[in-house]
Parts: sequence; C-alpha cells; structure tokens
Amino acid sequence: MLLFFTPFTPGQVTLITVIVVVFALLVAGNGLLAYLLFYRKKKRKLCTASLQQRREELLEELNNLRFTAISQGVEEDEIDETLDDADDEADEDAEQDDLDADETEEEAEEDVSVFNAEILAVKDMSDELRQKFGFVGEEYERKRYYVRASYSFEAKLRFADYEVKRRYAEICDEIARYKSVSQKRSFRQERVYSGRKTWALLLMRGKTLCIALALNPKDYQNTKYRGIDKSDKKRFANTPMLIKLTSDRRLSYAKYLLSAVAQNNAASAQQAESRRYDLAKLPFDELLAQKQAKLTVLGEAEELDDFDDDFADVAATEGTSVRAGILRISDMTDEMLKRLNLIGHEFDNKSYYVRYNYGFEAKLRTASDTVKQRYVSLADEIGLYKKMTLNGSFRQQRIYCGRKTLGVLLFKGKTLCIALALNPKDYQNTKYRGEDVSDKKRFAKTPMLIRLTSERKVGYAKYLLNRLAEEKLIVMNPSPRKGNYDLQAMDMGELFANNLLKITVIGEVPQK
Amino acid sequence: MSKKSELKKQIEDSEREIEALESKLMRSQISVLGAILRNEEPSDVDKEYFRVYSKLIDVERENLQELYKQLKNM
Repeated sequence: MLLFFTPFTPGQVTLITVIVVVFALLVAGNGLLAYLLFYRKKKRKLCTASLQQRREELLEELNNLRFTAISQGVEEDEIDETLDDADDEADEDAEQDDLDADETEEEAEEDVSVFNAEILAVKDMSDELRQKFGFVGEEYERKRYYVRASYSFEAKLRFADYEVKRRYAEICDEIARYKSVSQKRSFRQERVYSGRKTWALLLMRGKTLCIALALNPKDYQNTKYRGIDKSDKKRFANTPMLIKLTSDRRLSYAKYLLSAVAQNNAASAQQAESRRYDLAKLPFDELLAQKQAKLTVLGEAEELDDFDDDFADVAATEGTSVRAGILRISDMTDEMLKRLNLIGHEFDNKSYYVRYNYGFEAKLRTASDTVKQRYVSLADEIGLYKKMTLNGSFRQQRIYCGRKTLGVLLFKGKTLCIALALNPKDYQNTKYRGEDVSDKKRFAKTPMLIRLTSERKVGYAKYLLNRLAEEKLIVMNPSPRKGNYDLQAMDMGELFANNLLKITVIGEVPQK
Repeated sequence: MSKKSELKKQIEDSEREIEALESKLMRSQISVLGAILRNEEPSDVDKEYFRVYSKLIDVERENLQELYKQLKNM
C-alpha cells in the first residue's frame, strides 16, 4: 500500500488549495446570485396562512383607500386654494365652488369623458412622489399604477410655445396699464379684477390661451371683435365673452375690448411698460412640489413580472398611453353589465374608471377607409402565394407558411404596420428600409418593421413579401384567394360583444 | 441550521417591515393629532389610513412573535 502513496509536493498542495478556494468562491457566488434572483424577489410570506390572509385583505383595503382618498384629495385641494385670499374671500369661494361644479358639466358637454391615463412604474417615481403616495417599501418596487396628471394654468403656460407666452406677457402688460386693476392666479385661471368686480379671466383651453371678458357678446356679434358667447356657463357668468388669443390680430382685438371694459368701469389708463415674466419650463417634479400639477393615481396596473416584456419596451420607447375613460352604468350595454358583474340596483347611477384594450380587428374596424384599403390590398397579396396564410389573434395577424412566421400585421397606435422576417440591415441603404426592431422580444422572428403610411410603402411591403416568398421557396397560387373582408365599423358595445375590445374596470368614480 | 438562519432572516424582514409601516403610520398619526390639537374633527381618510396601518403593524407583530417562538423551540 505504502508503495502507491506518493506525498504531494508543496507546489501541488498550494495549487490544490487555490483550486479548492476558487471553486468554493464560485459556488458561493452562484448561491448569492440565486438568492438575489429568486429568493428576494418573492413576495413577502408570513408564517401562518391566517396572518397572510389578513395582511392581504388589509393591503387590498389600503389600495382601495388610496384610490378613493387621492380622488377626493384633488377636489379638497382645489377648494382649499380659495381660502387664502383675504380681500375677495367671499367672491372667490362662491366662484370656485361654482367652477368645480361647472367643470364636470362642461366636460360632459364637450364629451371629454375619455382621458389619457399613463402607466407609471413606482421605480420611475421620485422619492417625494413615493413618499406622498406611500409607495415606500420593497413590495412596491415592481408595481405600476395608472396615473393622470392635471396641470394648473401656470404649468400649462410654462409648457406652452414661445408665441403663447409672448401674447400672455403682452396682455398682462396691457392689463397693468389700468389703475387699481390687479391679477390673481389660482390653479385653473388668472382673474383680472378691480375691487370686487371681475374684468376678465385668463385661462388655457388645451394649449390655447384665452381671455373671457366682462362684456356682452351680443354687442359685438356682427363686428370683427366677436367672441364666443359663454353666458350659459356658470363659470363665465361675469365674463361671458371669450376670445381665443390664437394670433397677434386677436391679441389686438382683446386689447381693444379690454379698453371697452375699462371704459365701462370708468378706469383710467397709464403709460404701458414692458415687464419680465418667469415662464420657463419646469420639470414635472418641481411643478408637483409647487402644487402647479397634480398626479392622481387611478389604480394598479399589472406588475412588470406579469406584463409582456415587449409591451413594456414599446410603452417605454414610444410613450404609449393607455386609453382609459369614465363609463357610466347608464352608457353600458347589457352584455357589458353582465360580463363586468355590474348587474344590480346597487350599481345604478354609478360611474367607473375603465381601461379600453382595442384588439387588432377592433382597431381595423374603427380605422379610416384608407387604412382598411391598405389592409385588404396586403391580404389579397398574401392570397397570391400558395400556403401563405393569414391568421389573427387578439392583437395582431400572423403571416405564415407551415410553421414559419413570415410576418406580422399589427397596429402601432393608429398606424397599420407590417413586421417581416427579413434582416433590416440588408435593406438599410435601400428604399425598402424599415425599422430594426430586433431588440424587442415580440419581434424576434420578424425584426423588420414597416409602417404602412402611404400606398408607396404598401408597394414596398408587397415587394418584400415577394422576396420572402422567393427565399422560402413559396410558389404562386394557381388560383389566388381573394377574401371577402368584413371590416364594417362597429360601436363600442358591438366590439365588446364580439370580444374585439376588452374593458377592464379600474375603480369606481367617487360620487359627490 | 439553514432553517434557523432562514428564521433569523424572516425575523429581520419582519422587523424591517414593521419599521416601514410605522413610518407610513406616522403621517396619518400626525394629521389626526394635529386635527385634535386644533379642536377639529380629523378627516375620515386619515382615520382610515391610521386604522389600516395599525392593523398591518399588529399583523406583522404577531408574525414576528410567531417567528421568535419557532426560533426558541429549535
């Protein structure tokens, strides 16, 4: 036995020790990596099922509370703003209450019940925002929420074009000419007044700067100074003549009308002087801090784990906004009520925040005739090839031959696109070039994206389909298939009934 | 041994969670207290937040006690 035992040399012993240490480090490293990847990302689990259930119920309650509290908080803040004014407190309070009530009425009338909500990941929020909404803690790292931002008059002005800002500065300089006339800014507008009398309101309607003057619109109806008659709205009861300051000419008319208001109030004018106004664009966080913007959290969106990576990519790069809106029970069809479990008298007169998810066919049916024509043209082109088939799923239509995917027809917003199984680099310097979307998981097999925004692009897409067919040795169809495509427009109820549109209820609109 | 270290980790997690919940509770607590000092009725929203967070902390504390018990029995 002893003959076979050869003692190791010191060098060999050192080498063995080093190998063992390295191996141990590798194992430890892998263990740590596994822990970081799998263990820490797991949701918190408590030691008994009953505790876990209680925790989940309380978290659910907290979510509902957050949603309701934040929606109510928006209204409370708007009312609170008026209490700061010492001089015209009574007027402002009454006016502000009316304005809040009016806004709903106005929005309903203008059918602005559909608004764009965005998905915001908690990890993209600033620390202050996270603190404000209580999204502090590891369990919120992967969470995403539907949010809606609302901007004050000042915030909208700061984001406006240079021309809008210039006209605002000019109209303010004009106002400053009149003695004893002041301007007071609230969240939604700027009030021009002298004593207790309101002369005008400066406001933003969308991106347009407007002025509502204390004049009778009927007096100027047949003149070049005519404005929009807003006397039927409570908000404009004192200032019924609305002028949109969309050009320098309109600005000059507004100045003239302002002088008419001054004449009515026996106010004298002084020398005009140019002032400086700080209207620089500010980042969103700063606007929030200054209370010039408000963020409303509507509800929780799917966590990143459960969400398609490719959709997340698309949303991140293209700033996709999710279509969301308010749907009243009275506007829902019977089918919607049944499938959304909203049948019952307890749901009468309620409204809900909903998210609309339009499928490929829904978008096609609601698209313009031009888009439909382009789709039909491509579908007929596909029918020219033997064994090339078009098969639809909810969000796209796949062009394939056997098991091979040759392309995908999809919508990006309202644009019909085709993604082909070609290498974008091969066509980079040609007129057939498309977008390289190979980095997205969704387009892994079809990395060349072409947006079908014109007949020429449709022609290019047909050429590329032909090249694909040659590559894959697909022959022409001796009897080409020409489809009879039913692309008739459908309303929301019909789309929903035919499973072409998905509606998700995010939460209930708090009742006043 | 691994069960023991796992329990210790869970205890640490639980303690951290309690700290986080207590800091969130503080906001509503301050708001409620402030309202009381001003002789006003605290808002329902703050009262609800306070109630829910307190309950979450109680649940977490029960969990912590359970974990300590399990650790002691090992």
